[in-house]
Amino acid sequence: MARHAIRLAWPFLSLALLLLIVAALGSLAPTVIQRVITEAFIRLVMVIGLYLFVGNSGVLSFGHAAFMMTGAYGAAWLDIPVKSKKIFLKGLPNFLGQAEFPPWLAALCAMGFSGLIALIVGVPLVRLSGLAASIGTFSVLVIVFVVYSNWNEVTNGTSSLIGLPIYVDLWVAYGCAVGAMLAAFLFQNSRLGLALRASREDEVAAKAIGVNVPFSRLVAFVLSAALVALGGILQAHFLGALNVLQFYIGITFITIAMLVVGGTGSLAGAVIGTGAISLVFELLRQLEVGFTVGATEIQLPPGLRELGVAVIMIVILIFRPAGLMAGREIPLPGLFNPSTARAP
Amino acid sequence: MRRLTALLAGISLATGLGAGAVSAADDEVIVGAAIALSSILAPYDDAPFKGAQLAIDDINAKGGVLGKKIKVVTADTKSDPAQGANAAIAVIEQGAELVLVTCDFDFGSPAAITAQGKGKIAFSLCAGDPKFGVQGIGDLAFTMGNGTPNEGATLAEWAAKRGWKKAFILKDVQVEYTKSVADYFKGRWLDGLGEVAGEDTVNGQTDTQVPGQISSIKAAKDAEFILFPGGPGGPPIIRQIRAAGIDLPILMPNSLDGNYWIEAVPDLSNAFVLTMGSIYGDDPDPAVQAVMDKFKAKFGAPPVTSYVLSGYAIIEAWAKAVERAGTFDGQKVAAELEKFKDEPLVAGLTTFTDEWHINLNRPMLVIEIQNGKHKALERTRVEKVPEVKF
Repeated sequence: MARHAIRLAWPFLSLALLLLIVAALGSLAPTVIQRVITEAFIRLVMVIGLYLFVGNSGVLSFGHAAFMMTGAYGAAWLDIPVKSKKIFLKGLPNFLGQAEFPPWLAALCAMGFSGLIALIVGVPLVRLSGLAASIGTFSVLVIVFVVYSNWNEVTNGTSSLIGLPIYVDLWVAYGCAVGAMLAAFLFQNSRLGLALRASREDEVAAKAIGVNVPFSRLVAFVLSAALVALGGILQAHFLGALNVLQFYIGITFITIAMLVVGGTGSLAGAVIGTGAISLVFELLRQLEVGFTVGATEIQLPPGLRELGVAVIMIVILIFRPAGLMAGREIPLPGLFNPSTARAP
Repeated sequence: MRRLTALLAGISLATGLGAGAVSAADDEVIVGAAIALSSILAPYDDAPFKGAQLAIDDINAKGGVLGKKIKVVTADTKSDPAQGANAAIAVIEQGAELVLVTCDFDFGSPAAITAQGKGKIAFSLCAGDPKFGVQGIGDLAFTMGNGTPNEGATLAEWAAKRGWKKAFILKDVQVEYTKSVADYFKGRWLDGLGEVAGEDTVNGQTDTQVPGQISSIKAAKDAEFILFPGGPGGPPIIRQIRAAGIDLPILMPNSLDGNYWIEAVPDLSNAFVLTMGSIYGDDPDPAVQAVMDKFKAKFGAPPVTSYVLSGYAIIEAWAKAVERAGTFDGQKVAAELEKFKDEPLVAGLTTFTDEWHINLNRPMLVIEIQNGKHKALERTRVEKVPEVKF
């Protein structure tokens, strides 16, 4: 019985364990490395959020950064000290301007707010298919970006918004990443999740067996927006500063790259892709900073990081077009696997 | 899979050990620069950071601060606000007691917030936004830049001193700084100094052609001068104004200091820039001239902008405050900095208070441009400091 439960939950348990090892090693490392790992966990929350929709429905979204923005600003409206709001956010309605929620409550409200926005824009979007749906999500991003960059009294426009409580550390980020994985795992094994995956493989056949494709897509879209919003909230409360440019083209492509490199078809793909790109990013950054071999200092030119990630993506897409994990979850070790470990 | 885990673990340990190895020796104190060494803001941070290095050389030659030699460590923010916080942590881990951050509020604040959280003084190389201080970041954040209220009001009062009565305001909306200078100019100007004959906005980043703005300048027939707080995209706009036959005097703030752009507007005449000091070898203040000469001796060429002075002045100010406090402790040094009242620094007489960690009434030098040549005119100080608005 226990074995059966472990076998069922293994795709989630294995990843949670892997992250635990990374977090535990990270907690022993110097602060700079801890911060790099924390950032990677935050990215992971975003990528898992993106995976929940893209991986299960097969529709690529270029618009999820919009929900990071609505989430991060939504939480900021609720948990920035009233004193700072009077300086930076003069136009907030009174009930927001006077509010000072505890961070976790602010985060939950902001996730709900982002989910609500996703519900509204999602109704027409999920009826589109293929490229039209992708471009539709991109226009959502552009609209949200333009509104938030110009709504000076409420978002501080293109200037940075500061004064956010900084509560995100390695373990908070780890907890949220595991929580996001659990949510994605439960969804993909739910009735609705399986129906959505069926529509990803063959939309016509799925409809023929009675799958309500727009409805299951909409549920995934809303859930995924809430998770991605959590990523944005974490990032804002990790840095203590918020700027509209943090949630635009740059983060959109980084998160998509992470998902594509790992493979869009499985939860493990999202995790491994995020890990791989974060690792390469950090190594190349260290090379850009420079290091010494004997008496000579070697420093690679700035900008190498972006170039390096591009090259790695091309190589992976040539040799493993379905991503590093190619749609598989992490295999069960022999002990629990009846096909390899038979009772004597 | 297990191989990947091992790889992850190994690499995180290896990079970790590498980063944690440096720390300050007993006879030295560390100044950390968490600034843009690459990408878009690097040119702005370069001059003041070189100025800071000059000041460190000078102070070390005199025996250092509290008997300790100053050593500089750097971390690149890559002009990315998010990376700024990491860069600040990186230099603080190496023992930095003072953290220098980027020359702009939006880009420099994440690093400054991080330094504040660790109890270290953060000095922006030259941010001009009054939010850079107690209200925006915290009691340990300072900037050596001139506040935009100061620049805007000084330009207005100086224009009035010239006898001009009617202004045309061409507001560059590219960044907060340029907008803010135009707004404070207008506020002070309309406060009994003169009238606005006309105004228009331009975006130095995206408006490559400005015929509309030129028509509105021509339409404002009785304008006696143009106030143009331009950003990096300013020179082509000035060129188009002159090419359209408009030869009104043009007044510009510190952002258009330097002769690197003068080739874009050959033989520019009748233009005035407000600066911290002259990089053209004719500064009336011998202390400023001495820094310029040392700069040329060390780096082989004169500085590109006068912001070199703000970097020098940060180290000067911090060393003075540390000597007076008798400790490197952030809170105590900040308390000494807040006592500065017309403190003579190379960037000019400098005042900090417990409310304002930015200069709001420092004298500035007006530089005249005639036939493409810069000439120092006079230092001028604002008489009525406008109220700061966020």
